[in-house]
Amino acid sequence: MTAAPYARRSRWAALLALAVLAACSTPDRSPTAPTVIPDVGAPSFYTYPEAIYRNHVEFGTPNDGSATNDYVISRYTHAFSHNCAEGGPNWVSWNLNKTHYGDAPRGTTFYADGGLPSGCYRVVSSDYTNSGYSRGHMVRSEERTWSSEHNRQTFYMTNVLPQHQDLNGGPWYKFEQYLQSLAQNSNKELYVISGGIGNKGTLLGAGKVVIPTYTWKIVVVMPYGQGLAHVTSTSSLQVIAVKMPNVSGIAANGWTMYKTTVNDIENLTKYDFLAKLPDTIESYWESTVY
Amino acid sequence: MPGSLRARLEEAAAGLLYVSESEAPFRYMELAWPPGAPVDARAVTAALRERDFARETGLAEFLAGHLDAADPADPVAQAQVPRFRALVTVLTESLRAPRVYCFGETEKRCYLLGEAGQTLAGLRTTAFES
Repeated sequence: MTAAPYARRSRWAALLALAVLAACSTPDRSPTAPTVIPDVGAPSFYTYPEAIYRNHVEFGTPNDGSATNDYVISRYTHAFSHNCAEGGPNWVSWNLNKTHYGDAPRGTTFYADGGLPSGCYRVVSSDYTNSGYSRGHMVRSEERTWSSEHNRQTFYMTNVLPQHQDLNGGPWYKFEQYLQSLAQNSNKELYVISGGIGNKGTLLGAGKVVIPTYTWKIVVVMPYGQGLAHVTSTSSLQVIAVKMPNVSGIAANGWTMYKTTVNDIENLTKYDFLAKLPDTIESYWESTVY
Repeated sequence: MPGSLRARLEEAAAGLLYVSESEAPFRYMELAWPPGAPVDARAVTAALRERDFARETGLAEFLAGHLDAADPADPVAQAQVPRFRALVTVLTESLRAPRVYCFGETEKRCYLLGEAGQTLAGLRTTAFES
């Protein structure tokens, strides 16, 4: 960590403060109200005057046709659907680009999410302790390091699923690194959705947090600054889908061996993803392995 | 202070877990250290024969999630705050200027170390950070 990035950031922040104040003044916002702030073209990872969050559900809010156990919350940094019966997210959806990476220190604490309604069990970090499963981020901590507050939002337990450490620190982590490279080095705009599939029982048999059999991720890849409005053909975007088993012994595996189709994930989760895409484009990409 | 350094640190850390994405116990460790030799990240890295230096922090920063930043909604975490405070006290009273040095990527090997006589001593644990 260096002082210089903060100094640069402070100068830019002062210049643009009025422009971004209205967009940034509330911690929560509707998933249909994107925050789009013009790119200033800064060449360094640490010179972005603001983290530019576009619509976290740009291609449609995932829908399984039922509101049961589907409590949707939209935050400044991501949107998600929480399953109170299973103690974890049905899905988490977020925009990712180069401006989201910075030098804010990583959080030290996982927090119960006070945004959940009364009557919904608020999972705490100690529900995971000694369970044999890690607190697996959906939105990765590193992906929200423009500020400490942005980073903190990744440490709510609603952004976590139980993952075997060989998955969490293995192919899942390698895929996270690949996405970081796309955002930072290839100047891509990403729209990511992730979640779990299946039920391997609950942590410590306590009946509070279901252990998924797989965790999955769907990623729409576009040039930086683009979104749904720029989709005119199948070549306007790329879609990567992965489904990784929540087991030991896979730490050394690469992420590419877990590629699948969006259709596969839709069949298993019963959610409809990317519904705002034109039907022919949606059909093509949902049946294509990247 | 009564008892050996090792006994004091092991007693203070007994049963405590460092919680990150997963959790890990604290284990006592010590290595020979020339009296008066500067204790910095470079020297510690060499003495430990470590690689992939990740960060150096203070005790309070490293243990923040178990101290002031512990989740107020987590009764287990809150119940352990006094024990972690006591651990910090024992470390700071037993070791000269203890610091935390972490190495590695997703499973960081972290050492809470300070000078104690002709040794560099303290505790080691693991921080799971992906």
